[in-house]
Amino acid sequence: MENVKSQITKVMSAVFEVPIEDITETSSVDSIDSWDSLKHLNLILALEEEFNIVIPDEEVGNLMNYKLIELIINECRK
Amino acid sequence: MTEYGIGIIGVNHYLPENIQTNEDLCKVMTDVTPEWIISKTGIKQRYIATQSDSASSMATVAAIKVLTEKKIPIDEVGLIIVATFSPDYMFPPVSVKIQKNLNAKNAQIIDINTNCTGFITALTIASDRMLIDASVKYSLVIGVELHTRYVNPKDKETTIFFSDGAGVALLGKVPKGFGIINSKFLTDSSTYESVRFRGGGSSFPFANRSFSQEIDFIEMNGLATWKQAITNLPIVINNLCEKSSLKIEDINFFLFHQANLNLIQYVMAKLKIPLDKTYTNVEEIGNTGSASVGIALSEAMTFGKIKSGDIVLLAGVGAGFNFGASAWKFI
Repeated sequence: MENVKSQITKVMSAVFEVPIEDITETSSVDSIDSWDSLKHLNLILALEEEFNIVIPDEEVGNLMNYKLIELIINECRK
Repeated sequence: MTEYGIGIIGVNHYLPENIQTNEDLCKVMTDVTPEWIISKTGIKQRYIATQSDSASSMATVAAIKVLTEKKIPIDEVGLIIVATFSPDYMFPPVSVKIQKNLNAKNAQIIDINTNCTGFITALTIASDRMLIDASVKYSLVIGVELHTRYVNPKDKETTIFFSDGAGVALLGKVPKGFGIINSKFLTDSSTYESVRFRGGGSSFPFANRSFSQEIDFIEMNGLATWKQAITNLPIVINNLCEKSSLKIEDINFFLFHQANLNLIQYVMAKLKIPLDKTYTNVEEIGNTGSASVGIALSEAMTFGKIKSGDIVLLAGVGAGFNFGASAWKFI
């Protein structure tokens, strides 16, 4: 079974169209050039599908880096 | 409780003659391409008012079209509410000019400005007023914008979006159980300055200063707008459903302020609603501000997207930021 980190990495790599090895725990909107507003919407929907969760609307605009994404996903999975 | 409901019994709209394609726009705005505009917004073209158009003239044409179609005598119109942030003058209200143009001598007039949430706000005010005062037999709710006169043609944050036009809804009494169900509004003022037009306001009067590109054009912080919209638009829709004891699945059709195709598609996906339960015209018309929900409703009804008995949810986001959603059961 995939762990949360590898699933997040896989989703981010697919959505932002960057090699999987380029996604790290320090990845953020500042380090990924293709992370624009449209791709961000796709990221939220892809994460919801991957983890079968609903990301709270209040958090959607804040998920701008890997660490925050991991934190929220772990919260949603509790 | 009244023995009747207040419903939308007619719709229509007006769009000016001039069309501006992305190709036209990119001749002036050379740092973007037509394809880039489509990828960011879904917008392919917009409508630009001619020199002879005014907010009042466009609104008047739309109003005459709906009154003629529904054969409503003008004397029976008791209320005209106009939602706009680009009226003819700072004052008097543009609704007065429209009342004059229509010779609607029995109509109370109101202008409201809640930016792009204006049409939903105006529908709610009109229906509230009609439920309280039975003497108001019919109301005209008009959303109109001529805001392309306030955009910097080289500013890609604004010019790629904005378009001119007018949308109108005729409200009247309908059998109990039909008409407005409820509305919900919320305001997040934390980013109040993010979308603004300061010139001519009492903090930035024209006296004793020359034209300023910073003050006298609409300014928009795209990132703040986008963040507000993706956060709060789903929330106001869910809040409306909760207070109306409706589930999302109970809503037959959704119509949004036509700001950005990507935003509408996102909200539909986030709420797990199939895309065939909405109608968009932002691709062909652009963002007509307070008019956009009215124009989209007019086209959706013309194209048979809304049937008798359908529950339709209207939702939008406006500068400030304010959010509105309103549910109606159509007769």
